[in-house]
Amino acid sequence: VSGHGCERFERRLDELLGGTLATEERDVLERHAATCPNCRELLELARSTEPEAADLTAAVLTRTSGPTCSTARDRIGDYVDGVLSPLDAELLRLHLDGCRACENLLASMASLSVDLPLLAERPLDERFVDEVLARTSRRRRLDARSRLVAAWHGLLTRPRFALEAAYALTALVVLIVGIPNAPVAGVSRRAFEITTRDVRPGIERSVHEAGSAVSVGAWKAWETTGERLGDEAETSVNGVGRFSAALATDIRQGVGTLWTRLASGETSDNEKRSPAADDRNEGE
Amino acid sequence: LASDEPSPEEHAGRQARRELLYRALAGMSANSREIILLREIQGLKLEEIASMLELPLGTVKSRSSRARVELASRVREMAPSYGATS
Repeated sequence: VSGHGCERFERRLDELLGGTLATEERDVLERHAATCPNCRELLELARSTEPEAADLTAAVLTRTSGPTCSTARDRIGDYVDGVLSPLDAELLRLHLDGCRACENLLASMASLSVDLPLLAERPLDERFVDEVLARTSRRRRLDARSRLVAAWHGLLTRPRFALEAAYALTALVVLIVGIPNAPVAGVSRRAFEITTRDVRPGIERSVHEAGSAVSVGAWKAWETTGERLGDEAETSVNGVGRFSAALATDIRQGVGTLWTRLASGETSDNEKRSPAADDRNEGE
Repeated sequence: LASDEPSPEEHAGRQARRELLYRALAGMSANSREIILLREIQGLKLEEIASMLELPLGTVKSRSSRARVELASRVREMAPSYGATS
């Protein structure tokens, strides 16, 4: 409890000193300072050294930081997100100015926040759906596509389902879109089964469990094939291009089967056509 | 046909970054990957993740923070120029 109070106190110290806090919040902080020797000392120090801003910062820094890089690392994520308090942000900037390692870390984290969302390609991207269905069944394309979209739409807008589904869907989408050379057929079937089982009314299955099963499956799959990526994976643009093209057919076959089955709303093989046969029909 | 299709270079660049991120993620613990998946990839709020995983918000926050730092460090090790300003 006192740890939380101290954190809040430190976060609000600037505003407390500046007199910009609401009375209620100020009272809370002052009550905390009255019972917490460390925070009282910090407050007194801050008040007594107000004119000398640089000293104050140094004093605060020595009081609020453990090993400095470790403290910086704890806060750097919030800093990237822009939710760090002004005081902490200032302290962090001071540290970054003098620490190359943390500065590099900050740059990487900023890039991550741009790149990571790329891993979640939108599952209902129209072109993607078209491509997949075109590969698997050109004749039934429009019909199947509208059913597919309707199925997903219904699934996603079902009350209480959206949040839970997000987890399973992310795993599913990451799995089928992003993982090169994954044994898509096997794992996708599992993902598909879990996802469709969850939509059935009356079954309150733990989505956490389901999601974990999917993501564990996905990562296991990736790990076993990841070795084979070897140097090719981290290569040049050309290498990656060739690599992707070579795998596209395999991935599409697996994905096509999954989506087609989903579109037809059943898991039976009634209307399923062999992806290999589609490829032959299509060859142009 | 589609006007907003990325150029081949763009596509390959994205693909290369994906590969890098997957490789980095693959080396992380399941807990860390889970948080990254939900928070950074799916964009869920920390509160949503906490209720979904039935964990205290504070735990989710600190896990998320640690996982991001770990991922950034791993990526940087694998590709030292990652995130460098061009």
